[in-house]
Amino acid sequence: MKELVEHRVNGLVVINGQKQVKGIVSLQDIAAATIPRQFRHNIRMAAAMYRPGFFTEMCQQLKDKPVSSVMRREFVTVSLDDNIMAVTADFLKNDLYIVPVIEKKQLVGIVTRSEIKKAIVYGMRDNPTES
Amino acid sequence: MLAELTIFSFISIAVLMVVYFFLITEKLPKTLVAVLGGVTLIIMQVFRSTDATSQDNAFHFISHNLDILGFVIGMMILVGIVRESGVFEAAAIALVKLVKGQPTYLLVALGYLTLFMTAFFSNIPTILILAPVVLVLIRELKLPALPFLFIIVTMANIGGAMTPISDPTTYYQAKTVGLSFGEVVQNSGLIVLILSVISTAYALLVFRKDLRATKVKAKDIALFDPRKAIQDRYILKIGLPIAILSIVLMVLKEQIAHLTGVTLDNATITIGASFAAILIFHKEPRSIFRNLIDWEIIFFFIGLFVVVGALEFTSVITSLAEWLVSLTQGRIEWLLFLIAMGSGALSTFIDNVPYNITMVSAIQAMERSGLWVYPLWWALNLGTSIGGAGSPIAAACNVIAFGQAEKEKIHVNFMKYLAVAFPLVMINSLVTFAVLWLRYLR
Repeated sequence: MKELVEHRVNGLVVINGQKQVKGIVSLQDIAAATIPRQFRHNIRMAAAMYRPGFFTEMCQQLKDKPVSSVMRREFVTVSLDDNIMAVTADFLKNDLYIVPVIEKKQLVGIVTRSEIKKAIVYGMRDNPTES
Repeated sequence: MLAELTIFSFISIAVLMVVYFFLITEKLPKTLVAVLGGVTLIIMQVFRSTDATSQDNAFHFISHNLDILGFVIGMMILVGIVRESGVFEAAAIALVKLVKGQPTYLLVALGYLTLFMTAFFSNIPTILILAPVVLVLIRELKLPALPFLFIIVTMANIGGAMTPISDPTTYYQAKTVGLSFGEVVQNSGLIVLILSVISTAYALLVFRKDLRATKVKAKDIALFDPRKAIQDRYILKIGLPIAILSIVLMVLKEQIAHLTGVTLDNATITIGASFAAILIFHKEPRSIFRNLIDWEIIFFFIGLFVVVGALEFTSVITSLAEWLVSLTQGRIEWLLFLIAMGSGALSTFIDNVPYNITMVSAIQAMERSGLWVYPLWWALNLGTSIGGAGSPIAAACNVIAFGQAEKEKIHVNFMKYLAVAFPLVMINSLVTFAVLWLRYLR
């Protein structure tokens, strides 16, 4: 979480010693681990059954867990050849705002919401035919 | 007895055994097994007669049970819609506040909430609603998991015998045999109340150390607010009365028919009410059919109606009935004991739906042979419900409850659960036999 806050990102890519991507830790997944599953499906139950200190306890329990217990192991990747619309479609479909860019099985970069934002701003520029 | 059996009888038995093999081992989904079993029997001409095709005769066993299928579908939709109001969760949270979260009282309260919800809304929807609430309570209040999962599973199962609408198999039996709502409540329902007291006392005794060791402070539940669980006040105001009206009509349908000549059946009542609810609340039919109707259960029943129907069509059921009567020398008290205890024990380990459907036909065959079978209906109904609480896999509602617990990393060991639950199955089965014997045979 410190990494996410310090670097102002909402996710991190988990790699092994050979720089192969093994998973993604997203803010959504960390947040999901701090509340009971039932609350995710029923927000009103979360409002009706709150115990003071419960959230802090859940965060404390999560603090000592390994990254592997919350990371996503199934995720989309893109290659350098993929176009921006395919990447945007992935973002929207999977509710995940960090997509690893893989080339020859190695992590070469990531695409985040900032890149999507910049792409949209670029797409909305005046005189798009001049480029 | 065996002279009536033909090659088709043995094919029917073989298909049933294959179906049971896959039900027990869970190597294939049970719906697939039941339906493919039925199709196999039809293709092998098991149902063929001189005046009808194999399919026509087989489908007769389905068409005869459309009321049951319609009732199950209607209730799934109706309870699913009313559930969106949050009223059931609010009721559970209100009970938690009432007992101040104290583990012993909470166990009793949640157990009886489960029992009475099951009586009118059936056990699977009840468990789908209450299991999430119980699992949150286990985590938040650091309650011991096993006692609370045990009590809701036990009460959901025995509650299934309480009224004709509390479980599809109870309704199947009531409908097939012609037992009224009042008869089921006066016979099964009263015994269920006795069993609920025994089961609660058993749980309080067995889990007394775990319950006493858990301390819940008043401040832990101080911010619990049942009103906040209400999600949709419009559904609460309109949907809940529709559901209650449906239940009242199902309870009083015999009286209504007697007084007014208007005949109502459960499928019409529940399908009518649920589709009216879909209209009133502007629900998308497609999402209702996809999300609220458990088509696996529906097709599982359809398959079983054909598979067990084959046993009836080929005289296997008649032979089974004759064998049971000869085994007990036609003595009703021995049959009562065998069915009460045997149903309880068997239902712990095997899916009770095919067993129940088979035994209903067998007892009907006994009745046709001149035997008085009235107490046996209650022994069967109660025995299969009692046995359903015996193991984590014995009934669909158990699988749901323990499956949700697993997702919370709450693991209930099969043998540990069986060691706690099976003695209660035997006690409850014995009490059932004793009460029925005292009432009808003494």
